[in-house]
Amino acid sequence: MVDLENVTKIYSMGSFEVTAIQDITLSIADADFVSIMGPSGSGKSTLMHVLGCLDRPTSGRYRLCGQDVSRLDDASLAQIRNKRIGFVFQQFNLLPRETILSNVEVPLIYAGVKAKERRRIATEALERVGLSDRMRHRPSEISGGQKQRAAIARALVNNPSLILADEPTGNLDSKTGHEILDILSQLNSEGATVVLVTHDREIAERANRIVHLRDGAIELVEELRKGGGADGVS
Amino acid sequence: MGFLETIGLAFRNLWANRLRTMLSALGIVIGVASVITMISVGTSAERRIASEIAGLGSNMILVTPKIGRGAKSASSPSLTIEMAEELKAAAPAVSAVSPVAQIEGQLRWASSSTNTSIIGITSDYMRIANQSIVRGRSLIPAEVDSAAKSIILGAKTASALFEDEDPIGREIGVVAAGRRFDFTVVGVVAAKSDMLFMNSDSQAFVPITCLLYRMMPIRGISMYYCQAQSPEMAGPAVAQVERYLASRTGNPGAFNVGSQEALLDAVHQVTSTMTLLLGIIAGISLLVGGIGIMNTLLTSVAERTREIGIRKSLGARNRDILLQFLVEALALSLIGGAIGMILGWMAGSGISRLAGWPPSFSMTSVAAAVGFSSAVGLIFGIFPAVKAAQMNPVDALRYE
Repeated sequence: MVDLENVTKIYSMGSFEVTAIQDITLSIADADFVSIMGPSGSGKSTLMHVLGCLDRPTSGRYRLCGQDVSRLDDASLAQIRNKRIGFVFQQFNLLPRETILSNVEVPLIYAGVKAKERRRIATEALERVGLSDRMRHRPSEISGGQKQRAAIARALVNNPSLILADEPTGNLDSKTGHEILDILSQLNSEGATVVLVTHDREIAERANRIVHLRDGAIELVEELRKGGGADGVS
Repeated sequence: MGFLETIGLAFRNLWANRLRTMLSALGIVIGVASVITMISVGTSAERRIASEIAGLGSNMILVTPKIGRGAKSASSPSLTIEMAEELKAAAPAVSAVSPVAQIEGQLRWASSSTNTSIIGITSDYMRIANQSIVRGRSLIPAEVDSAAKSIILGAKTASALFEDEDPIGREIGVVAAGRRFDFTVVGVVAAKSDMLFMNSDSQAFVPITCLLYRMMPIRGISMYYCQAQSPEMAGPAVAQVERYLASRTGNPGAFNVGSQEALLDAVHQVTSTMTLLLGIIAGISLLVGGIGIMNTLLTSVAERTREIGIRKSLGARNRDILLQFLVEALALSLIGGAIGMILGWMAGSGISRLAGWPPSFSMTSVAAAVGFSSAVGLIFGIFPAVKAAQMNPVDALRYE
């Protein structure tokens, strides 16, 4: 599913360069559940951006579902994000002026799905996360947990290969946080590949494995349980 | 992303910022309104002048001595009645010639009197000058040959002297150059609106021979009214008249020979230059309106940086974002253009009505309004849209 080979990302900040992640090699199998942990500045977010095709690695190779995506152009990356990746952000990142239903429809719009079909798929996704009674509300009218459920529904609509959750519980109380994690676990058990970025040990333990990052490099890969089709880390 | 969705999104965003939308559209409203006003006022002024020229007579050609430095001297040739006769024979494309002379005088009937221009004409004049007789008749050749004291009154002149009475056959007094003559009224000219050069309504017409030989202390013909066989023959007629005058007088530059068409051309040139100039001035306000749109869009792009990031993370391509903002700019400017068009039409027709010109609101100005405003939208929308489209998704997502 995910194959990173010696992936390095260097940001140039004017005259000096910052190496955000260095020489990362990591494989994540289909239907696996992996947490990425590390203190702030360890390169979690950068790794997340590279995995999510929001950014290209400076060097190294990234294959997603067998396709080398490390050198694709902007338009192709946009298509990969649209079809293969579902994001769940700490900030929810819902469009404030659109209804929950419209928000969930956005990836389908960019995929070119017809209006009627869009409505059907989005409604189904919202039912799946238990939010069918809030479809006509705007993000400001629902709770944080509900917002994150909506974001998960939005991440699901295009049947992505990979769900990337970046601190999904960071803005939620622990009870709601656990509900959200339950949904992610549920999706994983139904076959979705989930990558969860967090700095919280307890949350990270939901996964089959924890990848510990420090200073932009993998420090340790911790095997918690044998899940999905984990094929180890090289 | 489908086009309909893009349009819907653009209008939702414009609606969400109603006040800002209104203010930035106002710039376009004013710009388009002033462009349309200027163009329609310019065109209706031109139409008015053109219709006056057309009203002067059909296929008319005017021959006048050149006025200006050195043109008038003792040796410079003048127009004569004989030359008018010769001209008719020498220029086959010319169907009629009427020499015209003019003197100021006073007409008297009973206790009323009126001051007027007394125009000396031949029997062809009324036809050439496109004027019709409402009462009585026009002059006949015999009256011209015999320098008869027959007079035709303009509509206003007639009503000033006779009010509702029938003037035909009345003997009126004509005082000119200090002498008094008795004339018989034979006809009244139909009322015509104001003309470029003169108002025939307050004139009176007499045989040119009578004017020249009986009344004028210094004889002089001021111009020839000629008529070409047909509008198509106006060009050849002008050439033939010029050739005749040059060979007859030996001075090719002594006269202006102007066809109606040449006059129309000259007027068209002047008015279209004026219209263009006014249009350019109005266009400057359109430019300012465009800058307003760009400003609004740049603000909007900055405010929605995060939204752009979210959309990109969900699969929006750069061109989807580009299109989204471009359509917004276009919608904004077209709304402004539509309102501006209506206002411009109202102002243009209002001004035309006040000035008594024919109203002119053509499809051309509608096309111009749509064209101008969409061009402004595109030109000033492209920079903010490109800026939005090229945002790095990671930076845009991080934007607070």
